[in-house]
Amino acid sequence: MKYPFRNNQGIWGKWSKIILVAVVALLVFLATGPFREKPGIIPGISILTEVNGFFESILSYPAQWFSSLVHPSIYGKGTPEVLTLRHRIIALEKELAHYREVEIENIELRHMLNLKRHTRLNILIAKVIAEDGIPWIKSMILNKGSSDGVTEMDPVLVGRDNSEDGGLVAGEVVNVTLHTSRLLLITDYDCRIAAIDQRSRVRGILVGQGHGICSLKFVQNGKDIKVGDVIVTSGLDGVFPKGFLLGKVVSISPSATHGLFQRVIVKPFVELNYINWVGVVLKTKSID
Amino acid sequence: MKESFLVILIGYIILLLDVTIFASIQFSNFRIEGIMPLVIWYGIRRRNFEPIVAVIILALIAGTFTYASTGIWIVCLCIGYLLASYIYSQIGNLIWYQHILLLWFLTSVMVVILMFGTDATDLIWPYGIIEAFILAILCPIWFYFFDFLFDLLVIEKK
Repeated sequence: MKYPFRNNQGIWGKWSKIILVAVVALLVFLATGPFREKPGIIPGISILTEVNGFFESILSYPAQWFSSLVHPSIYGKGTPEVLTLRHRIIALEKELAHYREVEIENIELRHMLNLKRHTRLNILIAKVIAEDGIPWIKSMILNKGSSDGVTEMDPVLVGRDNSEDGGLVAGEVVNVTLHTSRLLLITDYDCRIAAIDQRSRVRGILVGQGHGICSLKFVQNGKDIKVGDVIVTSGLDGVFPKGFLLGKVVSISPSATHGLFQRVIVKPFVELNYINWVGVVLKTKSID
Repeated sequence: MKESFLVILIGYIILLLDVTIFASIQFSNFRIEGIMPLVIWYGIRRRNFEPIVAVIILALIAGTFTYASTGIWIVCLCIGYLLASYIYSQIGNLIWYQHILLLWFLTSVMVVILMFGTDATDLIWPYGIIEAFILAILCPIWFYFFDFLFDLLVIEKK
C-alpha cells in the first residue's frame, strides 16, 4: 500500500486553507441545495439510472444463484472414492438448490397470478433486480418502468395463496425511469402509510423502522388495540386502496417520551427482504 | 487523470456488485461494502487535489444506486477522502492494529454521516459501529486488491 506521506506538502500545503474552505462550502451547498433532491431530478442522472438498471438486471441472475448457495461445503479428507462421492453430493446439492429456486419462483408467480385474478385492480407483475446501495435503506429496483405504465406512487403488492381479500402491501413506487422503477418498502424509515386496526377501527400512520418491522404512530393512550390485531390500509393517504393487509401487532407499550401515544410495533406479513416478484398496481392501463 | 477515470470505473463496478451480489448475501443490515474502502484507499494513496473531483463524480454515481439523497453521498465520500488523505499525511508507520483502529474511525465517520443523512440515527449504536468495524477489518483485503489492480493497469511515471 502506498502510504504514508510524511510531509505537509500536496493538498495540505500552500493553498490548503483556501481549497478546504471552498470544498466545505461546495459540500454544504450540495448537501443542502438543489442536489438534496431524490435521484432523477438532476439532469442526466435518470439516464445513468437507466444504464444501472441494465447492468443490474444482468447481475440479478448470479445474485439469485449466490443467494441459493446456503449449504455448507463438505470438502475434506478421504479416499478417492469418498472424495468422488462428495463431489457428486455437491453437484446434486447444487442441482437441488437450482430446483428449489425454481420452485420458490413458481410459488411466488402463482401467488401473483392469484392476486391478479382475485382483485379487480390493474396489476403488473415485476421482478426485483437489485437492492439499495445503503443496507439500511429498504428499497428495491424493479424491472418495469414508465414504458410499462408504472408511475410514481403506484402501490406495490405481494401475492399469497389466498388472495381473495387483496394482497399484502410491499410498498410504493418512488422513482421511475423508462425501463426500471424503485420500490420503497413499508419497512423503510421514509415510508408512511395511513393504516387502521381491522378489529377496533383505530387509525394511525404506519412508519417503517428499517429492520424488518414497522410502528403504528399516533395511536392515543387508552385506544382499543391489542397484540395480534391485523393492521390494514385505510385508504386515506390516496396511494393505497382501502383494506390491503399490512401486518400484525406484535407489541404495545406506553411511549417512553410522550405520554400521549402508545408505542405499537407491527410485523409485516411477509419477509420483505427476500421477495423476488411483486405486483405493481397501475393507475394507467397495463401494456402487459 | 487516468487513475481518476479508473477509480470512477472500478467504483461503478463495485456499486453494481454492491446492490446485486453483495446485497444477496447480506445478513440483517450488515453488508460487504466496497465504495468506502475505495475512497479511503484513494485518499491514502493520493495527496494532490485532483482526485476530489473523481470522488465527487463517484458520489454522484453512488446517489443513483440509492433512495438516499445524492448530496449525502457527496458529503460522506468527500469527508472520507479528505480525512484519510489528511490523517495519513500527518502520521508515520503504523502497526497493523493501529491501522485497523484508524480505518475503523474513518469508516465510522462515513457510516454515521450516511445514517444522519438518511434519518437512521437510532441505528448508529450498535449497528453502525459494528458495520464500520466489519468494513475496517475488510479494508486491507480491498486495499490489496486495489493496489494490485492499479499497479497492473496504471503505468506509474517515476
